[in-house]
Amino acid sequence: MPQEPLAAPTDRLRLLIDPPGDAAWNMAVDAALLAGRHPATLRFYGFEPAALTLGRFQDAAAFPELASRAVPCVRRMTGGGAILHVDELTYSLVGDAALLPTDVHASYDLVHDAIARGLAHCGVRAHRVTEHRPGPGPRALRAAHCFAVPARHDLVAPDGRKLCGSAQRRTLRPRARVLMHGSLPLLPRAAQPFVASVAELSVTPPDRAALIAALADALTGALGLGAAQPGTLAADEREHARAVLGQLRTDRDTLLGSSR
Amino acid sequence: MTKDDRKYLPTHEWCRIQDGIATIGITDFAVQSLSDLVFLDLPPIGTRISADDAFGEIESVKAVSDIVAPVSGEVVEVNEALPDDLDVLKTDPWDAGWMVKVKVTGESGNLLDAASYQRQVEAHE
Repeated sequence: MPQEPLAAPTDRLRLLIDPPGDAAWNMAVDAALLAGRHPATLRFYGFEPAALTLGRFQDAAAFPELASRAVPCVRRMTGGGAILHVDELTYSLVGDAALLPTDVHASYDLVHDAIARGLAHCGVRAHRVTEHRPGPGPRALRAAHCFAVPARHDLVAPDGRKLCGSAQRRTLRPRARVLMHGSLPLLPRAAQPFVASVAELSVTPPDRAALIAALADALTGALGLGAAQPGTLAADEREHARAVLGQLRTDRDTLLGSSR
Repeated sequence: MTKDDRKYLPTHEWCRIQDGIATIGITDFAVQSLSDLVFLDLPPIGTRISADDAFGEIESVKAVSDIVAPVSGEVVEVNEALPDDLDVLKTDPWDAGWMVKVKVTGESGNLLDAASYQRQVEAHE
């Protein structure tokens, strides 16, 4: 539901840089950040091993790769299509609702334009889709891959392939909070030619650290915040993530069961 | 547009209480703000919901959001057809677009009358 900002945005952005890791843990940490109290956190992470995440309401039975147990799978708390996370940089921007515009469209404009500027700083050409495109309807979305269907707000390569897709979760209780996370493929994917990658779109692909620095600078600027402050997960956030992890692993077994 | 025969939460849910049963939905302002609805998740009959807590989730363009309960009580009826035809929320959020009916045990302290809710919406626009 639309929500009014309840607090002024912080002037400090906590920066978390995590190494690529387990899919369920990745989602558990994002859930803990959303449930937490830190006003503004920017997290970078990745997936090792490669994994599939499903949108909040997608149909696991529609994804045959789950039946073969070829990849680990976890359900996101955000919507949209399924994402195969492999050789990518993943971000999450989490905080009080006031961190981002109340209007969902405006919030995507702000974040994705900042990411586009960060990419441009690294010599990567991408632009945001500004026109409305009818996305997959409810039935098609149950089985859709996020990157196969570039939609309004997505960042795309000059040839139209999707380079960055994001999703949001907005909560009202116990506090008005927002989570936006997204996926930025770094290398070309033979099995998913519809996915663009950073490496394809730059003459000299940036290394992970340079890309993170450029994106963090662009996002802090767009949010009107000072330089991001490197930080760590707080003890209560880590505890919450461990609790969520158990639930996600139970859900994962359910996903695998329902895909047979 | 608001309806005088019901109450509202600042988060854009409405409820109409008759004979101890609250019919709950979301306002036309909420539907317009969310746009491009794709999924709706409602609780099953028998679920006990608490006023001011989330009782459902709605996925719109690029965002999943909570739907907050205006009352506490037990869900006694669910609009089972609604998740499969979300266009109803665009055409008739006030009647055909109802979501759940709840046997009321308590009300949120944040409920607004129609005039107060209308002022909030106009201030937002």
